[in-house]
Amino acid sequence: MRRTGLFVFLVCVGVIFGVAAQPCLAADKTLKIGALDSLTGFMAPGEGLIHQGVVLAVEWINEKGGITVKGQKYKIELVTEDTKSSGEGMIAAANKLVMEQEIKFLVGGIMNEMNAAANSVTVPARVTHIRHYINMGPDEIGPSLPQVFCQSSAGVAGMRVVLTRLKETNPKAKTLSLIMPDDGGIPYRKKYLGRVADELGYKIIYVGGFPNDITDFNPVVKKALEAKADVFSISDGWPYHIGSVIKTARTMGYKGPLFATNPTAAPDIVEAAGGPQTAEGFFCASWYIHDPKLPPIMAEIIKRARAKYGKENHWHSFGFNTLWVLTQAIESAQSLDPVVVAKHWQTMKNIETVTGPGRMGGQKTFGINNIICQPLAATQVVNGKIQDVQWFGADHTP
Amino acid sequence: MASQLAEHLLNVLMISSIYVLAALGFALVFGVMRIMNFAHGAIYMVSGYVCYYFWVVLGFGPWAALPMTMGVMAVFGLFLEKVCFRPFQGDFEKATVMAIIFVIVLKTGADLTVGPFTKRLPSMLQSVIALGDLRVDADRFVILIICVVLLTLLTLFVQKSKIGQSMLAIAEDKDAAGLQGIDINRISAFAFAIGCSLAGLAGGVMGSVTVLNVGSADSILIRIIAVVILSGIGTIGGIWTGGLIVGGLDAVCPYFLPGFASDLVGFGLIVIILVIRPKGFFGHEV
Repeated sequence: MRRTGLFVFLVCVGVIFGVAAQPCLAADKTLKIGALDSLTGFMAPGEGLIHQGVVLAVEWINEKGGITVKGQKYKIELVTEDTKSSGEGMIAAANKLVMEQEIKFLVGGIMNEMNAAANSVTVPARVTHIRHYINMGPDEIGPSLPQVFCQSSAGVAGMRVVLTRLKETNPKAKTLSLIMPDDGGIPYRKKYLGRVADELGYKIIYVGGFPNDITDFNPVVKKALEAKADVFSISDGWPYHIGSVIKTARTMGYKGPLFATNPTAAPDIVEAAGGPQTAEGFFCASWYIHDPKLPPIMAEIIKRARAKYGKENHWHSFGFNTLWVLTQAIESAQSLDPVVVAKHWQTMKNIETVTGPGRMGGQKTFGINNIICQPLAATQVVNGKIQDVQWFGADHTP
Repeated sequence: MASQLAEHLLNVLMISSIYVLAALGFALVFGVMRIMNFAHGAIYMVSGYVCYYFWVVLGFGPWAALPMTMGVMAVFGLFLEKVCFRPFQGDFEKATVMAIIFVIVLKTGADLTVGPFTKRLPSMLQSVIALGDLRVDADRFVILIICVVLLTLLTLFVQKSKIGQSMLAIAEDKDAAGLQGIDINRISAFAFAIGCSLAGLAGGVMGSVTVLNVGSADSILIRIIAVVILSGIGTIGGIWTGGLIVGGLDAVCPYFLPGFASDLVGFGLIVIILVIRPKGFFGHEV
């Protein structure tokens, strides 16, 4: 009788402890992802908004329960360091995230100089890093950087989209005049954009650069227009650059086609150009966040951006995309080892993006399959309104 | 060819006059108070947004918004002088630290409020002047005229008025000026108010040529310091010379040189001038 009683007591104790322990065993863990974004300095106006998009993505993913790897749920903890719009700032920020906090997954990076600077920290530490954007330099993407990805193939995708569109709207146009920021990326843009232009039957007859902190675009635009190309275009640059170029070109009497190759914020460009009348006809390879053809995730981003920041912006969706595709890769790889994730990511056939189903690309263009190719539109100002006039699939960066 | 030259000349004069406006404010403050107001670039930047607020948000238009911006920045200058710099007059290091603190406060404030969103001031005249091959935004002529008129009035004010003469006297020899009965604090406040209002006008007019951008605080400060150093530390009247050189380089170099090289050559030339003439064109010992 005493033994029976003792036995029952011990069983009860065991059950109680077993039940109490269950929530601890099943509790969510945290996966730290580092964000290297310029929150101060000349890049901050755009990159600050991109970072806000990254934050929105983190919140959305965590509200859905986080990500699941090998049966364990992980909430994303975003750890941000300000890269201060400079290479030195990028190195300092990367050191804090990678060396001090031992973070293995990073998002962020846009400018050539800063992307190259980040490698000095992230590559030896074997961190998997997805950049928001690249200027196509070998320090930014390539076989020597197997763990570096980019959520945009930059000018290559854009150039293909805008020139394909141009063939339909201006079939007689054959020559291009191209200006771009002089941030170290000009030789690489010339190389890759030149290839796309050749492939599609165009000739780039003038390439000019401008410093990022340029005060007045008059001399730069004047020189580019003097080349008398059929088309005047700008590759890369922030909306305030592109808008200023449009305004200057139109003031100088240029009436021909005008486009930008990067997936930029058309509404901001229209504002910077001085209004829709000045920007009429301008187009870029991007997406207009209010296009009803976009998948439901875009409406979700807009809703969240309005709630959190008071106003939505194209760059919110841009930053959201970067973080989202990284988490998809981690979940798909079912691993938290950055090397394993990177290897798996290169082989992924499908990946969801904010503009629809995407794919991995870049093997033929850059020698490595580390580019996230997403559907892009020719976004144009038509009769004073911004529209996605034509959509292109995700096969723009082979 | 002639129209090209005319266009370059107009750009040189317009950019130079904006730099001179901005630099004159900096030089006035330094001349009278011996303070390197590193916040001057940030004040210029904030002025653009203040002007946007009056012009676009409240709808006053350019002809009211620009004087209102100057007025607001003048009052801000009085506050800065009284509260932040007067207590540290004579202490160069502490005054410099205060200036740097203000740079951080103004830039961070702008970043947190308006920084991420692109803003541009509308055109003042919404028209283009076409003379033969030359096509120029009419705003550039307007800006040039505004700057030249104001700078002329200011030069006359400094040279002919009692307050202006007092400023020059303090810039020449502060102790002697004090002994002559000049109220140093009152004149310093005037100088700061005028300096900030000039930065206000420069920031406002520049906002219609280029976009409003928090990063412009740093790039204009570099140019202001280059103008002041070239003209000569301590000089006010000679600012035109430095302004024409720096503005000229900025307006013309990007046409003839690739992006990074125009900055390199521009500032390289300034260094060469300073090696030949270290005090600048009109400078004197401080």
